Amino acid sequence: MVEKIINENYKNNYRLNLILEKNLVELNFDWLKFKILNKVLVGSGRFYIGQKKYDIEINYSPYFAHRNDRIYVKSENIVFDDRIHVYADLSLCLYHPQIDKPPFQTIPLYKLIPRIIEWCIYYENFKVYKVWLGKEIKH
Amino acid sequence: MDRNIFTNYKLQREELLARIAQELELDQSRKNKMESAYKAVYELLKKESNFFKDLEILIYPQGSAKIGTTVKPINGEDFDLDTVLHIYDPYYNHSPKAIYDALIKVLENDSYYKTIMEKKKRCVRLNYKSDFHIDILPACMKNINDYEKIAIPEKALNNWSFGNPKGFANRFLNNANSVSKSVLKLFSDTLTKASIESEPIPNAIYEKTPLQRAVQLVKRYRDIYYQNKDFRVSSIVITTIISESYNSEDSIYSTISNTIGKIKNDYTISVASKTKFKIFNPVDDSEEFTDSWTDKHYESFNSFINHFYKNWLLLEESFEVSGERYIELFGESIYKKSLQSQLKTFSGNSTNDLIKSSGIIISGNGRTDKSGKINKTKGVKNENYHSYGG
Repeated sequence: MVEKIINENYKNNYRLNLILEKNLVELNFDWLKFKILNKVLVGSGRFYIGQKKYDIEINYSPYFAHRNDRIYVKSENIVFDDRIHVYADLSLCLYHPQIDKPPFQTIPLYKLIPRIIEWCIYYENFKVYKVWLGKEIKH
Repeated sequence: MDRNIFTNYKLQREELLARIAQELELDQSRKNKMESAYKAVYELLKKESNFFKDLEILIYPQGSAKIGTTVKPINGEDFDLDTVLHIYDPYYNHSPKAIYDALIKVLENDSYYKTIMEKKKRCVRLNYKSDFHIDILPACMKNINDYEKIAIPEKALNNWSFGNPKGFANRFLNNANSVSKSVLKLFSDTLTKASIESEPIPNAIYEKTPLQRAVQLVKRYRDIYYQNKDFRVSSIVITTIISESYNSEDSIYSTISNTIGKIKNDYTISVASKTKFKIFNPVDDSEEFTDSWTDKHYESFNSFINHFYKNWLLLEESFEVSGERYIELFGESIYKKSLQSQLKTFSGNSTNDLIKSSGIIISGNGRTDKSGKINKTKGVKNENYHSYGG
């Protein structure tokens, strides 16, 4: 119930909240650029691990079902596999909805950005070792 | 020797196998607790004023604890330490029942041991709360002046059987130490000389011989393989066949490849020539470990060896091909933990950004700078979290 109220508040002030999210991310990371389109914060950018490039697409909105974030690695040909922690639409799973999320709050987007990099590192390791080397809770 | 294990699969595999085997061992504090536990029983027996009063005695570990091939039980079961209460007096001076009863009496008269004691057919089990138990096997000398061979109470305590756990252990350790310098010892020496800046090298990983590690790893697969199957191959059989086929190989990988390959071959020849495949105690050829084996035991043994060997040979290939075989052979959690610790230890020496970053995030020390580069000092602190979805 409380969570619902907080979410409604976020929605009521969605524009201000999304601007804050945008500013926080762009303050801390210069490889991502965002704009607000139809109540969704839409961003993209490219980072490198060594010489290899990773193109990322981020959609973030309180109007999405279940979670605000939809984050994709566009430069990788990812095939669904429950060992690599992606959802069915191939968006990344970057937290456990109960254990990692503060009660009655959302996780600020800028805190998810390092996890995108980590996901890519664990994904590269998975391709080699066939095991997810990050902390995980299996379904 | 190449120090960068991430560009040398054979070296990385060898180091990883040692880490997996090390993970399977009991930690030092548990080992110390167990040692204190059997020494306390020895002290109690020394103080006894009747049966043991004028007898020279000693309690010592036998089996895997003695030869350094212990493996943590699977599924959180108790670890068992096998010990011998060696009474240095010839068996014909006593009855089997008398020595067994004498041990029981001392333990029953003690308020603590009375509560943790469990009588078994020929030994006494002490069940400690710290998830281990100790089996104490009372035994006399088989021959006067022979401090190795023992006489053990048998068959409802009406008879004696004979054994030589010390001789077995000495023979195994002689075989194990026949290697001049193992690949990992050489690697460890190279690291020490180069004083590489990295996490401290845990030398315990490299101390054991390839033969000891090989026995641990095959026993681990045995425990996984027989979780839902009967006719489990015993540790003494695994230890004996590997030790007796060992030819001073300098790596864990070649030790297992060669010994298990030879055993598989010997088994095939015995089936083809319609002769029984037998395994004898190497220090007492009157004892045949396979003498009670039925056809089911043989089928089980053959199947176990074949499954193991098929998976093992695939480790010849890179992790991209063999990764899932490691999981099948040793279990996912131990494979993952060993890889994580290997990356934590050696990634700092790598020039590869992916490997460097992997070590940093696995250690939980990561920050992400403005450009998205993982490092230890600049940017947003990477938080602890769990991957879950999928």
